[in-house]
Amino acid sequence: MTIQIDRNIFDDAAISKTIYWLSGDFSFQRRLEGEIESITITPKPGSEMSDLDIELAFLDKLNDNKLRGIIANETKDIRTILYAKAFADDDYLSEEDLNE
Amino acid sequence: MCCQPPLAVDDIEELYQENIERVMNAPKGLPMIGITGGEPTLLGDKLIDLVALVREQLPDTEIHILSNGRAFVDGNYTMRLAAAGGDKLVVGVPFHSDYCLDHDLIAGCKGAYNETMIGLYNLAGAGVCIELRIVMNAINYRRFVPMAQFIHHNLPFVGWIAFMGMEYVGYAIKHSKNIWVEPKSYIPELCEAVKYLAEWNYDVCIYNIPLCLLLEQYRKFAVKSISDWKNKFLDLCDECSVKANCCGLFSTSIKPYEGLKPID
Amino acid sequence: MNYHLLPFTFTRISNHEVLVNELGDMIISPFGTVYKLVNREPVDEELFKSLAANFFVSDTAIPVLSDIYALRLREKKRFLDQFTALHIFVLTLRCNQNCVYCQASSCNEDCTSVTMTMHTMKKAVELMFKSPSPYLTMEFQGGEPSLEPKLLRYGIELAEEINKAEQKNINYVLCTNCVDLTDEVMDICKQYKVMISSSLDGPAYLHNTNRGKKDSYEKVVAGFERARSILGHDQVSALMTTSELALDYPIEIVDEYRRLGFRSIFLRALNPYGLATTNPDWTDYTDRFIEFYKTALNYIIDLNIQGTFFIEEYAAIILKKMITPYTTGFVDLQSPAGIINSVLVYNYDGYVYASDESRMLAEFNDYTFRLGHVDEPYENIVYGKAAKNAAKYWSNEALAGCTDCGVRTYCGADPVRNHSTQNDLYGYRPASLLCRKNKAIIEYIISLIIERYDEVMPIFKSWLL
Repeated sequence: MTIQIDRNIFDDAAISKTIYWLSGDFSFQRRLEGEIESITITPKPGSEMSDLDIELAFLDKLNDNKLRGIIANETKDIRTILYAKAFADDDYLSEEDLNE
Repeated sequence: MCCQPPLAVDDIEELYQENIERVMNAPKGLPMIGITGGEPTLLGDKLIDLVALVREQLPDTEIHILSNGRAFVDGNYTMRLAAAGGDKLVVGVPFHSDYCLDHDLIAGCKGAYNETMIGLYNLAGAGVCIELRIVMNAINYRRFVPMAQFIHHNLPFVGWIAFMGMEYVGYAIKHSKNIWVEPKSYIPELCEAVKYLAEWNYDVCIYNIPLCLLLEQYRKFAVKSISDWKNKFLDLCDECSVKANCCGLFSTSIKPYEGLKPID
Repeated sequence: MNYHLLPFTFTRISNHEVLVNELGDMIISPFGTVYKLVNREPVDEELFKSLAANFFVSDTAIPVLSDIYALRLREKKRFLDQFTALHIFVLTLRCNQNCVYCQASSCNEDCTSVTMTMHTMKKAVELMFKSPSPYLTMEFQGGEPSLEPKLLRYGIELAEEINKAEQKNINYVLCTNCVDLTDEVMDICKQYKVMISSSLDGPAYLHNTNRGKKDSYEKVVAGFERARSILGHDQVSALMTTSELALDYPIEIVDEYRRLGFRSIFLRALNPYGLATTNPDWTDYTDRFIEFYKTALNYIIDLNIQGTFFIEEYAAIILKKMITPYTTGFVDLQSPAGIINSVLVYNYDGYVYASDESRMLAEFNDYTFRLGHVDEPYENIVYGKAAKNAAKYWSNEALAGCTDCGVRTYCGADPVRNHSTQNDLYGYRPASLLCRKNKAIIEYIISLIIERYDEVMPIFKSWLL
């Protein structure tokens, strides 16, 4: 089966992470045409999921991965600062470090 | 919020001399000395001198300082106070909410929460025993359970936690529309928070709440917290079987709590 | 609404969104919460206050209390401060049993040349004292280490001698099957307060089948009694390993542990190492183990509800990371991984390995985690090539599939297991059975907290006090 994804809504990272988690049970072929990505999903032997189940699983994971991606991007710098404060010996970091 | 309204007068020098007299004349077997205010840390280094004097004159007396904790943002000051007080020093710090804006609102000061939190960490770092005081009011009672969880995760080092019923005088009257709440309204939240903390083996106690407002299994946490000269009982209390263990009511309150009844 | 997000991940459990920050603090919230937070849409007022109080959102880019956050983060990685605390000494591969799932490539009792020399013991004890940790656990394994009492005594007495100057806090643990605890071994244990860590798989029929002997159960139980009477009841603990056969007996196994006077059990899955890899279908085994675990855990919770205090140790480790501000020293659920950071293994042949599993791989000629030899300097061993290589893959904060995982802070990284099962230290999470097992168990524990909070929380707390 093939799922069409609008790349204005979901970026490559969200799609790649979704495919990562499902690639134990499925094979994926990706094709980008303009802003629409077509993803062809082929179950590996032994899978008993229906096309609808696969589509739902894919979209649920895709949405969550998009949210996780946004959180990770937004918090990347502060995460670095917090870990540096916790574990670096000389840890003087300020707001400027965050804005760099 | 404070039940004893602050006065904007500089009384430090005069009262300080009086206090030194009191310490010099105190009996050597005195179990505990309370240092309160106002805000005693406004004395700055004089507070450290006073604590050092008590420690010198009364080596076995517990020193209990009641403070909003904000001055302990200064780690150096905290360490010096701790050194002066030795191992029998307890600092009681009010903790109004785990949510900073609620705490600031009740403390009447923006930024108070952050300063108090850092102060609590500095006190703990200096090895001072902390009494965390939660004065129960209309703004914070819905968060008693989240506050208990917050204390466990962020302030596990406190010596004990006291949930305190409010005296119905002073600022409490002035701000009564915003902060006054009948204890019977928050008893369920109070009990759940006490249960949560007690299950983690924290020392937790309830001040100023008459026993008849508490379910039986929570009465063991209640303390006879109102001084003899300040408490009173109602006529109906004469029929109560646990009156002797009860804190009673503040004689200074303008009206008794709702829902009081003698226990068989 | 105007606020900054702080780092957290999330997952969906029991119709809730479970948000977990880097400190392991958990917020259970309704579906849609994360979407609203990301898009700055209003959420329930009390929920928002909890998110702000517990470092999920902040009104400033750097939280004013970031120093407190940092202190708490450091506390959660406390095991790193001390560096290696657990030192495993493999005294010999000789053994007096023949267990079906033996992971340690044991040899017959009469074997020679599979026992540690006195020289190796001396060098290994000296290396142990190079560890900066103020707490040391010296654990003796095999084979069956009680078959080497002279070596055991030599190692302990050497440690005691060196410790006169070092002044560390040392615990001794003897991992023995308790089948043949001689007076000589008991004397050593009594004199130096050595804890006995033994193995018992459950009721007699199960234990004896697993052990490939008719009377192993009777001997082991008699050994427990003997050790308890000489050393004290609490000096003896037992570990179970869930063989394929055991999967059908969760209740019986728990009951057997209770009957023998234990107050806890560690429901431990088989490791796919050593001899055990040739045995079952691992995917099927993992799924069945998860069900076995849930059944046994529920039974244990019921026992506690009825007033019998009894701990499931694996759940207790996860819970400590989940519902307290602290962490554990349990090496299998750490990030950075427990290898080297928390454990070193001195093998009978003089080589030093990164973990117990690492030395088992070596028995199959895979020396990936051989760090060096006891005759080498300490620095060459713990900062050497093999250690540096493993270090690239030992933090789950930075591994694909783990970084974004909602339960990452409760889990750990295990490059040794990744290598042994997937031939790749980095590991591929979607096919990792360790990931499947840990995730299922962690999520199940969270589901219990969500669905049965009032029932389970007092019990879970009591396990951690």
